[in-house]
Amino acid sequence: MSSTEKAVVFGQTMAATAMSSDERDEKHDGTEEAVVSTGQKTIRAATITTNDTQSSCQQDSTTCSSYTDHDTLGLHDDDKPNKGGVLPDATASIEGGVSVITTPEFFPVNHVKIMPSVNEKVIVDNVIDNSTRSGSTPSNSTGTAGAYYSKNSKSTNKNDNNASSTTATTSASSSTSKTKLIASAKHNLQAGKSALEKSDFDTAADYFKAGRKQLNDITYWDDDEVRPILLELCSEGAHTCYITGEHDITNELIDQVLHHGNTIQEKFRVYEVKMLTVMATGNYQESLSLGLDVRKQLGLSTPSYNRVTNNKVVSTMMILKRYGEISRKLDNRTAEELANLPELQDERIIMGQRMLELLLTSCYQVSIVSIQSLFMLISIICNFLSHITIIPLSICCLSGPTNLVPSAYL
Amino acid sequence: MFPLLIFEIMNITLEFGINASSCDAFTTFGILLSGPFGKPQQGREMAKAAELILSTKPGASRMQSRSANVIQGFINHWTMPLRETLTPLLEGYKAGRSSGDFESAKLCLGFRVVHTFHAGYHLNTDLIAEAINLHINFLHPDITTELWLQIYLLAIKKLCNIELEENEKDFDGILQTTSEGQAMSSLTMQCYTNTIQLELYAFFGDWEEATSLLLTTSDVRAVLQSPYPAVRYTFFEGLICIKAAQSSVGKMDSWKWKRRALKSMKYIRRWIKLGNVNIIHCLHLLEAELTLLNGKNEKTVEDFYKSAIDIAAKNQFIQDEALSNELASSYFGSLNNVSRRDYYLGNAIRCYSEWGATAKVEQLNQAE
Repeated sequence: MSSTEKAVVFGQTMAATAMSSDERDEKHDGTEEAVVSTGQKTIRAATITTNDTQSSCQQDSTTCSSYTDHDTLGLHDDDKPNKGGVLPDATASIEGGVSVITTPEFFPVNHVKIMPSVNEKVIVDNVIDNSTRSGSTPSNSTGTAGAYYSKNSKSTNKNDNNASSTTATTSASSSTSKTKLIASAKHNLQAGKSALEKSDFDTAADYFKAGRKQLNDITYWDDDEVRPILLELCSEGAHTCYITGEHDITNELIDQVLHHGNTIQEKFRVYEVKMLTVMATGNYQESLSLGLDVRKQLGLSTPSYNRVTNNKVVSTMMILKRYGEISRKLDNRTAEELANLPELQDERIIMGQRMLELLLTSCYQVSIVSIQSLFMLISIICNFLSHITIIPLSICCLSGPTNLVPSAYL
Repeated sequence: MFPLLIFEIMNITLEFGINASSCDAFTTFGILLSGPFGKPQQGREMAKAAELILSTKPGASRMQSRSANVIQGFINHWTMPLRETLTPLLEGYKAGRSSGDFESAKLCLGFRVVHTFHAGYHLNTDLIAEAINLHINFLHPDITTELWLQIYLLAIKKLCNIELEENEKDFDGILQTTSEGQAMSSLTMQCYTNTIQLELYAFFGDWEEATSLLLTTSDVRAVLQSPYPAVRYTFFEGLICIKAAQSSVGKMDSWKWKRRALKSMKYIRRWIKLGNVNIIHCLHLLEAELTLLNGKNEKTVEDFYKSAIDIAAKNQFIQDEALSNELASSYFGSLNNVSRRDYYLGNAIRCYSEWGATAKVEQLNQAE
């Protein structure tokens, strides 16, 4: 058995978290990385590379089960400091004042690499393939400084909320306070959002997942401080998982938010995702009903709500009437004038508008045949109107400044 | 309810102000204006408003792909050269991929293939190959886009005389698969397929089959309304009806076909008047065939053919330039004017070759 340990100093101040052994990052080459930070102090990162394939390292305490004696920092009793720090190839030396032995206040572990056995590697690869996908490993450089990422390295359970995946946490968790967890989860949330902006959906999903793991305590839903972060982690996570095609997780997160969310505003984002997932299954009618219901919950009326729910057909005259009203409101404004209209600020109306976007898609699919028939009918009526010289006053009234009578199909 | 939702989102935009959703308000209202209400210029103005919001409001970027497919696929082709829609559609596709709006990205890709096919590019153009690659490499494929693209690839294969691979679906197979799914309305897919089939029958001069299909197919114009294939269908509907009228034995039959052809031409005339630049040559070709049906003099007929050929060439619709030449050749052939017939036939073969329609070139060479 041979093993080496490296100590690396990061000369940067980062926010803190501790990480359990099951939250190590995994790579295809069989190595595992984990990031652990201390509180608001300089981090000392240690990288452990274990060639012994049967060793089960618990990197948070830098303790390997194959060693019998070690101190609280996870250093083995027979380790002797030499030039370069604890490890022969450390980037900083004892003379530089950096050694976990000479300067014990430093928290040593930041980076752990473990070479798994052949058998273990198979398991690890399966976990990557099934639960996170290859190439999705975020690094610190992907997110903002201090964004923490962790992943279950051993469990093959894809359920990231499964409590069993977190019960394997080791002694580092004892040094983790709630504040640290919140800070770390926030960083994961931010890192996820940054990854989303870069269209790196897999990485974003992993960050959100890591953040959720850190707040994987049911009581946090009742905590006013944690709740908004959890809501966002779950909501954004649901959307990202929808994009990456992880539908089971998407549905699970949607259910979580719908269960724990108190207001429509809190639930809105996952309602959007739910509509998308329902539409993806081709169930446009259900999506339509859901969207209409959300608008109702927002306190917004939707035209023909009753007609849709009662499966009634909208009359052509009603369409022409509404068209006339909109034409009047448009008032012949140019594209520039329209684009320079004041910005919509009301959050509730904005949500209502977003629902209408999704409703339009669902509605088009639900009633495509009737829409086409309706459009044809409109065309015929318009054709008729264009041929008569005296248009009844009632119809003229519908016409706004842009003139109701459509001029095509003549 | 669909139009009412459009009016609602539009109404809120006009009443409370704009945000990202306003892009949808303006573009969907633009569809109504361009299609059913027949006001493509006003529809274009709505599209411009959406484009301005997209370019000035950073928060609206999530709507880029969605707006691109609606603007280019449903609105702009009514007033802009078809070729000019291709780049924005590619940009829309890319935007959809990066924002995670994969549905819109796929629509952008679909419309790009449709417009590339109809815009007169060489059938083996890199644009088609590029679209296929983008589709294949897309990690979120769906059966609708797959079938949609297959319709056009199948048409290209038939025109290029490429054998179908084993188990490859023909048009009937595509329609059967479509009817089993529900992603895109099977009626919509049927309309896309029938339009392409009518076009192929016309190019291969199989007027009888074309007539039969025209009698059984749905009213594509009513179903599709705004996308470009609805325009294309109207042209071929007119042409096939005139051909049917020309070959009809009974006067009543001939009159019925002619009446339908006149209706198609009426649409086209109106669209041109409203600014459609993609079908001017089509109208001239229909005029030539109608003049021939009406038995007008040779000079008038040739003038219409000539203008159809010139405008098609100017607007780079090489396939329609070829068809116009072929029909002109056929006309002079019927008059036993060999020199004129051969002149137009030579031009037709050249144009079909430039288009890449190997099968059609072979057909003409054999006939020659």
